[in-house]
Amino acid sequence: MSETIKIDVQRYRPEIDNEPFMQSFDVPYTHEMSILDGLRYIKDHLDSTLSFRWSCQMAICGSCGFMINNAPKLGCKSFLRDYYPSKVTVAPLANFPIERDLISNISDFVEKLEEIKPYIIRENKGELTDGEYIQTPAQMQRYKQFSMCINCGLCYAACPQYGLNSKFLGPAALALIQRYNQDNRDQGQAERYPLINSEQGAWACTFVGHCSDVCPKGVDPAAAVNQSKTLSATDYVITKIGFGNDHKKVKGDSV
Amino acid sequence: MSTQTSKRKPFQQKMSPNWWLKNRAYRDYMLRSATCIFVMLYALILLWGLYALSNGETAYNAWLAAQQELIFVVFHLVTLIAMLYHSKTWFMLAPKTIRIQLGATIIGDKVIESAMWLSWLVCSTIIIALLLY
Repeated sequence: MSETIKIDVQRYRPEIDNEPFMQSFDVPYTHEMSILDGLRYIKDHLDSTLSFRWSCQMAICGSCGFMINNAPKLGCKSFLRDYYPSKVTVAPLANFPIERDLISNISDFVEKLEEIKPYIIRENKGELTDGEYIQTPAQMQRYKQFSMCINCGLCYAACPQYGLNSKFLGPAALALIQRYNQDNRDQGQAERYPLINSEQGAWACTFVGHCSDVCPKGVDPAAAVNQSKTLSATDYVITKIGFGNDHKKVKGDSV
Repeated sequence: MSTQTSKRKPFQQKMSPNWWLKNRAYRDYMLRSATCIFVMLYALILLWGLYALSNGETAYNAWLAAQQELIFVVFHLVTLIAMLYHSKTWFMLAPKTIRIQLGATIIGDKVIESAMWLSWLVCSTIIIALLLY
C-alpha cells in the first residue's frame, strides 16, 4: 500500500458558508510531490469543488501563493517531503479577503502596483530613429534584484503592517518603485517620490523584515523599502533647502 | 442580459491581537521594538541627572547616590543587555539599508555587518581608553 499524507485545506464557499472551515484529505505521497501537486490530486480525485489558483508550476507566474502551515509560500515551490509524515495545513494568503476556498482577492495589491507607475517615464521621448536607451551592466545591477518580483503577494501576506492597515502601499509596490527609480533610463522619480514620502508610503514600514524572508525570488523588498527611506529623507532635505523637484507641481500629487 | 445575482461574498480576514506570537520573525521584531522602552527610560534617568546637576552639587550627589541603589543597578544591567540586543539586531539589519555598489558588484551583507561591528569595537575602545587614562 502506498504512503499517504494528510492535507488539511481551508474551505470557504461564499454561497453556503458564513466563515471558512478546515477539511482534511488523505493524499498518496511520493517524494517529488509539491503542495500544488497534492491540491491537484484532491481536485482530480477527492473533491472537484476545491478552488485554487495555479499556472506555471515553476515559480514564475506567482499564482499559487498559499499559507502553508501558516507561512506564505508558493505551492509549486514547497514540497510534501519537507512536512511528511506530519500533516500539512493549506489556507489562502493572509491579509487579503478570501474569495473562495484558497483563492484570495489580491485586487488591492494589483491596484497598488499600477499606482506607482511601473514603467519607464521620460521627460522628453526621443525618436525611434535615435535608437535604444543605453545601459551598462553596472547600471542594470542597481535595480536588477528588485526587478525579479513575480507579483505573487507573499510579502503582503507576511507583512503585519499591511494586515493592520491595508492602505499601506506595501512591500512589493515599494520595491517596484525602487526598481524604476534606480533605473538610469527612467526620469520619473519626481512623480513617484510623493508616494514614497506619503504617510502610507515607505514610512509606514516598521522594518519587521519578514517580507524578505518569504520572498520566493530573493527580491528583498525590506531592503528596497528601507533604501527608499534614505532617498525620501534626502529628498525632503533637498526640497526644503530649495534645490529639489517641486513635487506639488506633479499631477496627481496626494501629499 | 443575465438576471442572476452574484454569489460573491468575500470573507475579510482579520489579524488577531496575538498575531506577533505566531512566528519567530514577528517575536524577534517585537522583542527588538520592546528594547526601545529601556532606551526611553534610560534617557529619562539621564535627563533627571542633568536636571539634578543644574540644581547644584547636593542635588547631583543625591542623584548619584540614587543610582547606587539595588533597583537602579538591576535596571542598568537589564538596560545594558537590552541595548546590546538592540544594537545587534540593527547591525544585522544595516546591510538592508546601506547599498554600496562598486562597478557591477554590490558589496555583500557580511562586509557591511562586519564594518558595523568593527566601528562599534573602535568606538568602544576609544571611550574606554579615555575613561581609564
